[in-house]
Amino acid sequence: MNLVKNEMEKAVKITTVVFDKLPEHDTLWAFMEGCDGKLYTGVCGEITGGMSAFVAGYEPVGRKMEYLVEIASALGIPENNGQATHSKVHKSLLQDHDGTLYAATHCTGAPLNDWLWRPWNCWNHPRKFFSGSGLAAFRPDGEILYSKIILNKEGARCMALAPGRRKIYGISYPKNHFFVYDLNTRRTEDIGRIGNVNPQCIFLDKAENGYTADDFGKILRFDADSNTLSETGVQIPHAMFRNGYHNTLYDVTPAPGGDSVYGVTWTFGERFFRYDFADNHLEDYGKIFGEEEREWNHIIHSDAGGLVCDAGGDVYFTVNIRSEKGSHPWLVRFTPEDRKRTLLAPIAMDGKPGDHVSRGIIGADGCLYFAETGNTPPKLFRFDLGFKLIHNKTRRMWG
Amino acid sequence: MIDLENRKWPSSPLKAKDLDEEQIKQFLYIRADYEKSAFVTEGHLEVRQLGAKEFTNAIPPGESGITALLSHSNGHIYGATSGPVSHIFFYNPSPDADAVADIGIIAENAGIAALAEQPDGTVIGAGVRKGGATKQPFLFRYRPCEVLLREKKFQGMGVREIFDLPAEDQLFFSTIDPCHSSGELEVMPCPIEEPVEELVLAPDGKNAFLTGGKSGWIYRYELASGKAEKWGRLDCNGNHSNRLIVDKTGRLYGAGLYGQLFTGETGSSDPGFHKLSCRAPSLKGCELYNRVTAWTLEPDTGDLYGGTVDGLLFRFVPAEERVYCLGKPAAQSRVSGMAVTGGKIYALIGEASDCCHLCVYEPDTGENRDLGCLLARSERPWNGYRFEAMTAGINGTLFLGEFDRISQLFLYFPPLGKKR
Repeated sequence: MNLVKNEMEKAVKITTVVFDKLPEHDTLWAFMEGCDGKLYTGVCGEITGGMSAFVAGYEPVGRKMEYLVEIASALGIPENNGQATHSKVHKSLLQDHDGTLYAATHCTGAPLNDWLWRPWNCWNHPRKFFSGSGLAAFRPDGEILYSKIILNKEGARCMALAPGRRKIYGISYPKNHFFVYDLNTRRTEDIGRIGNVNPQCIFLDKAENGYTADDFGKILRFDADSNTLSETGVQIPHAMFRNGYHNTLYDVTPAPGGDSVYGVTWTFGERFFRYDFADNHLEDYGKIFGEEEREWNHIIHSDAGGLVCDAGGDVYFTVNIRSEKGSHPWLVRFTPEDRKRTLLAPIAMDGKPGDHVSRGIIGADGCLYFAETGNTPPKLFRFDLGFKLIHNKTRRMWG
Repeated sequence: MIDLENRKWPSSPLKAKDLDEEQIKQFLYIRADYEKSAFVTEGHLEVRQLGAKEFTNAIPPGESGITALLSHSNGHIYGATSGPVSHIFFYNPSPDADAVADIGIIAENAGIAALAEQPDGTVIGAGVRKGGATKQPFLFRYRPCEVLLREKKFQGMGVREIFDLPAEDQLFFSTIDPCHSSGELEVMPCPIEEPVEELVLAPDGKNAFLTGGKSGWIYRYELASGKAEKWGRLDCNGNHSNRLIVDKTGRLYGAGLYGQLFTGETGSSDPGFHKLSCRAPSLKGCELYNRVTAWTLEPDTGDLYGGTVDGLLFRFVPAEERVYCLGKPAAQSRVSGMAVTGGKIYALIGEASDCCHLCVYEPDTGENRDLGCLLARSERPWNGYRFEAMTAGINGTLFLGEFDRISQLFLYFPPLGKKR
């Protein structure tokens, strides 16, 4: 693809927010705007054994970074105890309307001095097992309210907060069970296995019913009143050359008003779509950007995420685009009226391209922020488009 | 706030600056091996959803947890699920089928403990209805098409009517008219006043033997009359194992307190039910908790093999009335299924919260090995974590019953034997 600078790109100013106090950490998966206007993220250390995840808060107007919580310490499980580490907060960082934050850990971080770890290999290992997803509840200033192991030996891949029901919905890894954590009783209820491939997102309607997707991208609905999972009969779209398998959710963001969401599928010919709750209707916008692909490729070449919708209804996202220089992320704007995608700028700093992006936010300063995954030290990319973006006021209550 | 100024961070060998080419390649080889090493690589695993996937949906999520499997003399594998709705199904291994057919619903809110086959091919099952305050036991009888056909009178039937009669339970994947045929299911009353957790049949198939889950009594249930009577007691305080087995001669075996073995004669009016002088093995200090959680019969030698709640395997030789402990092949506990094929004894080991492992004991060499976690690629990629039943098909394939919200029937094809 010929990526020529356009006028828009010339107006875009790109800066970064580097987590330089965590020089060995390497990924950012969870990234959310708090009700206080701060941008919260989980800073993870996946490549190096014996690390703890941190939760950091960034104040975009004052441009102030705070490292709020060291997760291993909050859980009382030292990162150097020889067990698989609580070094990762995946799409499981949430904030209640009262400001209380919840971060739950995922597993993949190796024990100290190891560099490789998988749950199947170490499930019953006497020392290297993962103790199970740990939930830390804390205030925005970092004060820990409580912490608890909420899953047996599994990590939490993604979560959503239903504040009105005082519940957290989640997906476990590797067994891929939908679970509900009750914030009042502090108990986890297993709703059951949903498939073999972990979706990367659970999203909510206004009544706080949960939605996710199974192995074939069929949208599942968790009825919060009856505590049951069922198929909606809607399947998220997939590339022409695929059959729908492993075409599950990667990122979903609320549209203004909360009656619908925009989403993107995971890997190989990512599809962009809108899902309307009221009539259970899915609008397929086709391949998220660029030409329709015809064949599989390495997963590292393929990524689309960072979806965020402004108050006017435009959707911003990032997509990795292949060129002769490799596969690197770009910022794109989608306008629903004409379904037009506009390539805005490469996600790069000082000529060095980013790796890929998990989640995006419109900050209180009117800039776009994207959490990068795959480079050390981790960083946020800030995009000043030359005008102030206004955030869609429908809060995203999921990771 | 957290002070990070003076922190020292661990380092990764992957980030060392002086790595040479050989080291880097070895990291990559190690990672590739490690990713696969947890899973069964000897032999071959596949799954079948509980319904022929090209034509029908599977038994729904929540209703598909398999708790009983039976290798039938007709070559099919019959299975039963437990949950809000309990189903009976069969797997037809014939080349034009190779799929599962859902026969129908046995009961709602039911747990099915076991299936067994009468000499005429009728399938008998036992379970418990779990709705309400009490758990009501029940039995059921499933008569496959071949059994029904034997009883069929053709007088007064037209040619078309006759030739539409199925000769056997089968899946028929004709391009014109895909369908399956199955027999008749009948639920039978059970006068026993406690949950039944096991069913085995006497060799003549006239009597079923059922374990009372609470009392430790073994009941004899006469299938023709539906009458039940207490037959022998494994333990007076419920410290017994639910699982039973009948050997080639018709002797029944079970286990009581500490894994103490008991036996009685199923075919005699005086069963002579008594305690043997041997126990199933246990981890030291855990004898009180010991349970035999699975049995299987080695048909060539007549030996019985068992597995315990500790994950220990043992061989019991009826003629010697002696137990040989075979050890604990995997880190997991609780043997949830055992079966014999190709002269080897296979065991599924894992608690409900574990990643279950498949293990094998080879009597010829005495080797007892952990084969790994269950992962299949076909007919869809699927990791199996929890299993509650296993049986060996007549062609040597092992069938493993998964128990989860969404469950598959696993097929394990052991590797061909090789000379050492």
